[in-house]
Amino acid sequence: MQLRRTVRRAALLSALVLAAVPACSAGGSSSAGGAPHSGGSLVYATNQEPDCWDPHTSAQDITAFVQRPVFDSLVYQAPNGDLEPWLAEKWTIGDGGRSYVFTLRRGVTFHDGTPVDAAAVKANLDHITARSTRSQYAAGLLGPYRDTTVKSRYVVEVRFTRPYAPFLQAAGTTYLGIESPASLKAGADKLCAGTTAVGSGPFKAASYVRGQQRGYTRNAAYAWAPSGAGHSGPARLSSFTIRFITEDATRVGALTSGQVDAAAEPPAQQIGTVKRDARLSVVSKDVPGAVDAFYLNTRSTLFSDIRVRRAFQHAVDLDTVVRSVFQGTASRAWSALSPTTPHSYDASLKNSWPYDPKLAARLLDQAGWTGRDSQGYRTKNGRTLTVVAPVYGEPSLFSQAVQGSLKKAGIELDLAASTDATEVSTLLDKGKYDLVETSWARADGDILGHFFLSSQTSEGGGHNFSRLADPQVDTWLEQAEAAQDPEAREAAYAKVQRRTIDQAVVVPAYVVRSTVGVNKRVHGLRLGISAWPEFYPAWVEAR
Amino acid sequence: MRPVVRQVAVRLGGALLVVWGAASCAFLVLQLVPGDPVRAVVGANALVDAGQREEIRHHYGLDRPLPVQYVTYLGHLLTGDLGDSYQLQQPVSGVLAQQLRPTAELALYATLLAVLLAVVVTVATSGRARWPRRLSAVVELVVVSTPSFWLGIMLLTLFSFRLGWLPVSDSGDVRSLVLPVITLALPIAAVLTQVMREGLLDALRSPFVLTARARGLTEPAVRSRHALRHAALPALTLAGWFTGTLLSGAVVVENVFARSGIGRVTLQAVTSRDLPLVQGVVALSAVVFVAVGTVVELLCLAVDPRLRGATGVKAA
Repeated sequence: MQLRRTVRRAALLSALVLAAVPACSAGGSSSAGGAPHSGGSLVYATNQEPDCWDPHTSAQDITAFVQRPVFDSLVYQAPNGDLEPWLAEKWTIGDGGRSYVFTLRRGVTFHDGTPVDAAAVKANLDHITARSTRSQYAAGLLGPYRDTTVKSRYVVEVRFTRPYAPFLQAAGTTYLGIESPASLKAGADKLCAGTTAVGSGPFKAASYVRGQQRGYTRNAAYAWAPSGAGHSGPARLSSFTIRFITEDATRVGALTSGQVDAAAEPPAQQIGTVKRDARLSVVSKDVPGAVDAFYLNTRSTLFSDIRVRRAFQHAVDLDTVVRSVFQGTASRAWSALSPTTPHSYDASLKNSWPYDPKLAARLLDQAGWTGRDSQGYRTKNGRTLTVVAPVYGEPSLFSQAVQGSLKKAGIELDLAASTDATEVSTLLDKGKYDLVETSWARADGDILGHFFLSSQTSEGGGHNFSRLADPQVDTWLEQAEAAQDPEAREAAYAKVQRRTIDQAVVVPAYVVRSTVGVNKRVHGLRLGISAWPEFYPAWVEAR
Repeated sequence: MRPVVRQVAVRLGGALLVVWGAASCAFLVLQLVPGDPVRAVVGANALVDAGQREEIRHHYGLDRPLPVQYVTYLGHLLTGDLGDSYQLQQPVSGVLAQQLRPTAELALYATLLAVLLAVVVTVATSGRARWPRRLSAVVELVVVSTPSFWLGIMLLTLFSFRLGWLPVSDSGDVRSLVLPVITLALPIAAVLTQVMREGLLDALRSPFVLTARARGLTEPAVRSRHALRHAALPALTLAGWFTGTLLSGAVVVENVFARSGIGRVTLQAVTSRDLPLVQGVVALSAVVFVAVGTVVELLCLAVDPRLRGATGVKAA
């Protein structure tokens, strides 16, 4: 849910761009500065502005981020991945994982004074799943959703048509945030306009000027923070502002000249400048979810041969390419999942498939790609070893560097760039490609299912770009979806990660890192589970 | 007054034709994009099932035949309804109306500054001495050749980041207009100056200038009161270019200076393939061009009495 922000614009296609700007982050910048101080305000500059401000409708990470201070959720996912009570003080899972019964915390009110009760939760889930909401993501997060029933004033039951363990994590995201039922009646255009957001969060939405900024003021009545939030009671900041400064140079200049207190995503070549500045610090965190990876089309003529897939896996010098392109703002990936994905990352994969040009050459020889053309690319029966990769927009610096690295192995990477989103998506739907490069942020291993379940085809709105139909992988993923025991899920996800590497279905490339430059007068601005800053525990030194 | 009514009617008809042509072009070009427009609406990083896709198709009327879509589009256009934005999910007319003021403000001040600069520099550098002209020509060339993106960043770096005199981005402060206006105005002023000086120098060689000087008028009076009018005409004919530069300049300036406005939403619409919003911007630009064209024609009449022949005013 983080990184999606960039990706979604160009649609998944943009994922193809690879250039996806990492999500922001906040690791926690508090250090000295004396005792936390209540009052004051800060200005945060972000590099993107939401299109639609309703997280029930929008699929953008930035929407989830800008509305997080306003909308609370049923559960809270702490930065370490643990799920804690929030608006729901407890829950029970029944009917073999098909039913979730939430007991809501009493005495919680929305900013408009109405209570957060079972009826309000039902109104929200009904709103998300209503056709007229045209939800691009939240409804998808609900998976096999069936219905919601009000059991009593503060007890609500959410039912699914099959066991659905990822629901609790999904319920912790802003996409399933609880909005005031009265505000939901305003209609999609008002909700998307961002001027009518009413939640129960620690900050109330204040004025919003599109293209400029959005203000937030403290909710003085706030008394229902989750225990892992790093603070309790009303927020320390009396207000803050998010300013939308899309131009990198302007945003960084605003930070270094003290005109904003924090700025998202300083470009790689500027991070050094920010770090050297005595008044500034940098916080960063790896974005959880599916790392940026090459999904090899296991049904294309070329990659249906596992030897060629394995050759590709070992032919790219990822360590060097990632280091030189990202200069420390991203790290080389070993698994399809990011190391910060809670309870699912398999660390044993590290260093298990290193760069090995000799092995790659041997595999290609075995597969019959023994000839060479005038440019040095390998050939077989007169055909050049060309890997077709559809790219939406301009190929990123990273994919061009990979192209260079592959050339040394005699593999031609054809970055079929197109600025036409529909053309690219048609290629994807029809499977007319050899590989797709993309990433998808989400703080749950369930994201693996979107990429490897045989039912998640591109035509059906899924992201199984490898066109994998492996019954064994399907079984593990279904087990994980149904299992409530976190260890059982973790074990199943680990098997999927190992299998997809062993079969060279996916070649993970790099882990996107979210980075925020922060003025040292700001304390406690930490990066949450999705690697976006959390303003609730933050405080500022008096000027 | 009959001929006047006819003239107005003809001009109005022409204006409508231009707007219709631009709107139709925008509509047609967007139809040429192959594939399913629903893809453009949801983007690819969304989880949307088939039923939701149908709902989206129906909501935007994409399930109707093309001619019907076209006629509906034109009908809505007549009533000022530009459809709903794919990404912002709000009426396009509302979005544009909201963003018009900051852009209009920016364009207005930039125009005033550009004209003021051009007139002052033209008058000051068209004397007998050659060196002010040469110096000015070099500066103009440099300014015209500088990408406004870079110019904006340089101004920001100097006056905002280093000296701290002016705020970096618009936060409701009037001072935040200064740098964007200068960035937008400088290249325009440079071109205007080049054109006007050319015209002014030509005019200064005319016999009527000799007459004026013979009457004992001071040199500045000769230049600004008599010759400048002649120089203004070629400059006015640049209005189309001028408007285009303001609009395209607004895209750059609004993004560099993080201001709201039409340019900002245009860039966002183009990057996120928000077709109705792009169509709306095209239609709005057409209207602006037509309006500016009309104003300029009137201005020409005011500046050059010779063009007023039909109105009964004797040629000078």
